[in-house]
Amino acid sequence: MLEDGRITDRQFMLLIIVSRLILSLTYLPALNSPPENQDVWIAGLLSFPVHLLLAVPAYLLAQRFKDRSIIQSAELILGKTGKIIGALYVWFFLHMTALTLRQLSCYLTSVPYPETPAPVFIIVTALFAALAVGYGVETICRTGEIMTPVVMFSIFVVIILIAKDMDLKALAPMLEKGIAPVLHGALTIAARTVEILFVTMLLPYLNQPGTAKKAMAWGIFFFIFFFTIITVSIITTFDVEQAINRTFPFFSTVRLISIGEFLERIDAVHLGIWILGLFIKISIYYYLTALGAAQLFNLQDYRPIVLPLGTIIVSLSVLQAENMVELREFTSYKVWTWYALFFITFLPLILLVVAVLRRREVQAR
Amino acid sequence: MKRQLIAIFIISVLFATSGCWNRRELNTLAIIMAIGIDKAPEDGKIKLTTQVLKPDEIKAPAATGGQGSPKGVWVLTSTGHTIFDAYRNATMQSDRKLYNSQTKVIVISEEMARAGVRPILDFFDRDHELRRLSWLLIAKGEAKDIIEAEHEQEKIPAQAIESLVTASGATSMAVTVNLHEFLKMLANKATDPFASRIEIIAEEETEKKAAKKPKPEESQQNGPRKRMRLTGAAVFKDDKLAGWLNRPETRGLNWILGKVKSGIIIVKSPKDENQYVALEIIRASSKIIPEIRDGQVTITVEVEEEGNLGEQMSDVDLTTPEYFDSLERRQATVIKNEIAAVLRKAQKEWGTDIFGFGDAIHRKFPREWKKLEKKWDTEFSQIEVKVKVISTLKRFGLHTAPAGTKRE
Repeated sequence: MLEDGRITDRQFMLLIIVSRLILSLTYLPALNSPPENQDVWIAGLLSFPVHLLLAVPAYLLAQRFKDRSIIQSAELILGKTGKIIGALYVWFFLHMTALTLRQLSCYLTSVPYPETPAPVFIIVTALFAALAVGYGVETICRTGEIMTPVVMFSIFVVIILIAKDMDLKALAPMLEKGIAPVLHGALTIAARTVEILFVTMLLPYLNQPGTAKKAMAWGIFFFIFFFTIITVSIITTFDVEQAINRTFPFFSTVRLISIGEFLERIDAVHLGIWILGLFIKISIYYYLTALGAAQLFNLQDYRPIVLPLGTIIVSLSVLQAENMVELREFTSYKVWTWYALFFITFLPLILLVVAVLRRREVQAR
Repeated sequence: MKRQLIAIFIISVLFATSGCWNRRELNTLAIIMAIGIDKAPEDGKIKLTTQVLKPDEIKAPAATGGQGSPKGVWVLTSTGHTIFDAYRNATMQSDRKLYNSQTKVIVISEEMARAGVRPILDFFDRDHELRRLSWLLIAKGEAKDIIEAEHEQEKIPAQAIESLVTASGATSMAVTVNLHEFLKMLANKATDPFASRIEIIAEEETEKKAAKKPKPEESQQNGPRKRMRLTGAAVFKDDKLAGWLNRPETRGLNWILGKVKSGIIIVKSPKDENQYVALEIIRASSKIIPEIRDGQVTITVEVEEEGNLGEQMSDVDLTTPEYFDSLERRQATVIKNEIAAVLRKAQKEWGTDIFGFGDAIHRKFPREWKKLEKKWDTEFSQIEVKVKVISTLKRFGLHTAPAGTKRE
C-alpha cells in the first residue's frame, strides 16, 4: 500500500467541512452567483439535496471499488483510456492545490501584506504543505480534527459579536426573483464542493468504510449550516447591494465588529484562523495530487514525488492567472461550475455506467 | 527522506519567523485622526486636510507647565487629483507615511458634497487601512476649518468630534452616521442618504451673546477661536447634497427612523402659557407601515414615545390627571410638528427618500415595487404619509410642585 495511515469517519467529516468552508471566510463567490440578491442563503439551504445528488455517482463508484481510488478503478474499468481519466484527476487535484494557494496569496497581498511579493506566500505555504504531505493522510486529518472546531467556534463568535449590527429586514422580500435562479444558485454552490471527491480517494483509508456515507452527509450538512449563517450575517450587515460588491465579504463583516470601543479590530485573529484552515485544505489537495500521481504511475511510494510536484504546483499557482480579475473570472460560477461538475459528477457517472455494463469483465479480472 | 523534510522545515521556519516584509514601526507612522476634504483652488483638484497625532504631546502633558495645553495634533494640507493622490502628496511635507487605520472622522465640505460624494468615497471603502466605522460629517462651509478647530476638553479634536457625535443621543437632534451606514444608504436604490452636519462657530460670537467683551490682547494674538458644533443633518439626493435639516427637523427624522434615544421636549405649561415645561424622552420607537390600495401608496408612520416630566417653570402643581393628560397631548403635538417639518422638506422641497419608505415598500410589496421603482423619484413627493404618535408621560420626579406653589 502507498499509504498505511487510517482515518476515522469523524476526521473524514471534519476534513470535508473545513476544506469546503474555509474559503467562505474570505472569498464568497456565491454572493455573485444567481440569484445575486438576498436569497443566497436560501440557495445555500436548497443546495443540500443538490449536493447529495451530485455526490451519488462518486459515492457509488467508491463503494463498488472499496480498496481502490478513482484513479485505480478508472484503469480497472477502462484500461488504457482509464489512465487518461486518472491523469485528468491528478491534474484536477494539482489545479485545486495551485488555485487554493493562489487564493491564499491573493488575499494576503490584498489586505495585510500589500507590498510582499505573492510568490513568497505561495512558496512558504507550499513547503509547509509538502511537509504535511510527507507525514501522510493521518497527520493531515488529525490536524484537521483539531483545527476544524476552532474554525467553527470562531465563526460562532463572530456571528455573536456582529449580531447587534445585523438587520434581518435585509432578507426580505424572500424569493424576489422566483425559485429558478435560487435553484441555479444551489447548483453553483454544490458544484464548488469538490470535497465530494474525497470519498473516491480516501475511502480505502477509512477504518470503517461503511460510515463514509453518513460522514459525508453530515459534513455537507454542517458546511451548509455555517455557509447559511455566514451569508445571512453578511447580507444583514451590508445589505445586498453592498454585499455583492465586497471582495472579501466575511472579512469585511469581521472588520465591522466594534463592541464598546474595546473589542474591535479582531480581523487579525480571523486571518490567523483562516490561514490555518486553508493550510489543511492545501495540504489535503497536495496529498491527493501526490497520492494520485503515485497510483497513476504505479510507484511504490508517493513521497519522492512530493517536492517535484510542488515545483509544478507553485509555478502553476503563479502562472494560472495574470491578476485578480482573471482569478475572479475563473472562479466565478460561469466557468467554475462546469469545470468542477465535469470532475465531481460527470466523470464518476461515466465510470460507474461503464463499470455496471462491463460487470463481468471487471469480475473476471 | 526524513532529514530532507527536517531541512525543508528549518528553511521554511526561517521564512516564517523573519518578521514582516513591510514592517511599519510606530515612529515611522503619521497616525491620522481626522481628515477633511475640500475643493482645491486649482481646477478639479482635491484639498485634503489631515489631523495627524503627535504621540509625544499626548504622552507628557505635564511637561509644558501652566502654559496652556499644547496641541496634540498637527494639521497637514495637501492637494491631489484624487484622494489617494492627495494622501501621498502629503508625504512631501510629513517625514512619516500617513497611516489611515485610526481615522475617526471624515469631514466633507459643503461644496464637495454638492458636487457629489460617490467619487470621493470610493477610496475609503477600497483601501484596506480604513475601516467603515469612521464617522462621516458634512461641514457647512470648509472642511479645513473643522479639522483645524481646537477643543478645550480634548487634546485631539478628532476625539472631540467623535464624542460629539456619539453623545448626540442626549438630544437626538443630530444623526449618528458612519461610513458604513452612509454607503449602505447610498447603495440602496430607493433610499437617499443623510449625514451629520457640523459647523464652526467662532468663540467671539458666543461671547458677544453672553454680553462679554473679549480681551483685546487675546483676540489679537490668536484671532477668534473656532469651535465646532453639530447643527443637524445634511440630506442628499443620490450622492449630491440637497439641503440641510436644522436640529428640530433632525429629531423629526430620528422619530421616523426610531433612532430617538433621549432628549427634551419643550411645551408650554397648560396652566400658564408664558412658562415652559421640559419633558424628558425616556424611550421611543417607530414603525413604518406601507400600504398599497388600488395603486395608491400610503405610508403610516407609528411613533411610540414614553416621557417623564423633567422640569417645569410655572407656578402650579402639574401632577393632576387633567394637567398630565394635557401635557401628553402637547407632547404629541410637538413630536408631530417635528415629523411634519422634516416630511415637508424631504417630500416637497427636495424629493429625497431619507426615511427608507421606498425600501419598506420594496420589502413588503416586491411585485408592486417593480413598477414603482422607476418612477419612485417623482412618486415619493406625491405619496400620503400618515403620522400616528402615541406618546405617554409616566413619572414626574422627586417632587410634585415647585417650592411654595399654591395648592388649588
